[in-house]
Amino acid sequence: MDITKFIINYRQPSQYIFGGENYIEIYKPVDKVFKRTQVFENTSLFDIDNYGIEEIKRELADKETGLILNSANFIFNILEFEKIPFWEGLRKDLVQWRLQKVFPEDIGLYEHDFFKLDKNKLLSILFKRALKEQLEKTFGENGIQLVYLGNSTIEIMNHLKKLKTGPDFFIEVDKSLSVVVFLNNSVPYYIRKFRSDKDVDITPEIVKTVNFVKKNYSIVPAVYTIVSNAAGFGFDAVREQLSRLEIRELNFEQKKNLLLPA
Amino acid sequence: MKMKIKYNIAKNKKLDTRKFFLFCVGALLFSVLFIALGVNNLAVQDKKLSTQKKTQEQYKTRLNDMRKKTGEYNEGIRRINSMWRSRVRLANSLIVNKSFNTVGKLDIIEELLPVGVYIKSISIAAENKSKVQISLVSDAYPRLFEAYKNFSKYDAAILNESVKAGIYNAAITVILKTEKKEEVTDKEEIKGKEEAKDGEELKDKAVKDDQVKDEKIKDRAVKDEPVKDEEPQDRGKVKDRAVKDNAVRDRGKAKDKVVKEKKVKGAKLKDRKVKDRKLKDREKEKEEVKEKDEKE
Repeated sequence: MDITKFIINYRQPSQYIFGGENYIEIYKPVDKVFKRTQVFENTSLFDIDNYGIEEIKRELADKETGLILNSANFIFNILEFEKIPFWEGLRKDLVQWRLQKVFPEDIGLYEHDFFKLDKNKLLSILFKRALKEQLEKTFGENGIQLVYLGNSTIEIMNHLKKLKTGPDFFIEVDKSLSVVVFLNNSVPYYIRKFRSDKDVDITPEIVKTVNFVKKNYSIVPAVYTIVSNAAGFGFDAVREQLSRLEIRELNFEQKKNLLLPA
Repeated sequence: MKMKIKYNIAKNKKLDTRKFFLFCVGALLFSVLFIALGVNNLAVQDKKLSTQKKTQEQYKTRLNDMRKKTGEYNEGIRRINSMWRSRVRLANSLIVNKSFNTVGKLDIIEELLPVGVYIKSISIAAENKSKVQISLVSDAYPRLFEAYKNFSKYDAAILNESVKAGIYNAAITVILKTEKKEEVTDKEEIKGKEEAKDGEELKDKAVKDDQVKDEKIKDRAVKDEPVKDEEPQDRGKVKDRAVKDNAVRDRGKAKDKVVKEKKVKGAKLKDRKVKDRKLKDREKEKEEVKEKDEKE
């Protein structure tokens, strides 16, 4: 058990950059609430040029900045064990041993973090170390203090945990990238990530995933929610299909800024 | 509790000093509170311990007192014991002295002493058990010699002999076991009782034997006598009578014998008892006389 996680709290940044699917958004606090102040279309943080970064810098205040990325470059694994060791070192060895069995690439190339979800479940998150270093380099070279580097899906999960009665699954749609996370009492037990070129293709994938979970986990999801940052996206087809499966949508207040840390 | 996933892989994370400070303060307060509680607990325990120590000391002093008292009591018991023992010893010696048959011994000496031999001095002590020292005086040696002869039955030993102006002096020791005699008499009494019992048993046996004999004789008579047609009833009657008469005579004889034996034994026992009583009475009288003398 890592005690430092309980003792040490890191400072929350005063502004955020969200790196979406081929777009970048800037969030700044307005009346103590983060609001999207700027969107940079057709730009990606991983192949941004100096001009682009200067534009972003111009938009940002000279303050500590947080960077939230969508799940495109993150690899999630939910690992189940009979018993999770108490000590952090043993836990890490166990997780790495299990990942090596499943994961084809070298884990050493990835920034690996894991979190205990419940008695016998662990969530492992892998992010390419090279990408992280690249981001830190570009931001650092341009004088942007990057103090937070997180993931949008994880932030959504943290937000939904606050709800008294959370959804059984949520769909995070970021243009062509969709992530479906199934929750049991706010604890994720199945995560699926898929890409679809057309809006229409999302619906059958979601239905397929729901059926898969029903079949394999013997859990019948009844409530869902859609979280999307992308403008101009209609989810009518998804809603229609899911209502046919007798799965209702959960609409709750404060649905904004779910991608940013709580 | 729903745990938040704190996922931040940034290299330059900034510590939230405010939260950290608050945490530190909280931890400090908690530790202070914990220490205070511990100190308080220790103080309470110390108080308890001190009271316990005090009570322990009190108990110790009590225990010491008790030990002292027990020592004193033990000493007292020892004293009483020794006193009791000495009393018991005294009582035992008195019993021994009482059971010491002095008069009996004197009687024997008197009986054994021939004419013309006189006792100059005599020492009879209970401590010496049955040993009696007698110094004899006689004007003729043969008389003295007769005295030696008489006393020789009782393991007599001549200590010294002397002649002065025709008077013969001698000192002898004799072992007169009069106490043993008493034991013997007791045994005889028991024997007499046993004999009496035996006599009764013998009597019964004799009676039984007679009956058996009578029956046998009867049978023989019946077998031996040839059966005659003439006067058969008269002959049988005569035989029966003869048999009966014989049986009665035998029984009477046996009874008489037993009665006689009994009488003899009873008389002996009576004599012995009378003698014993007389001896005891004499002893008593002597003791009374002694006591009177002592008082005087």
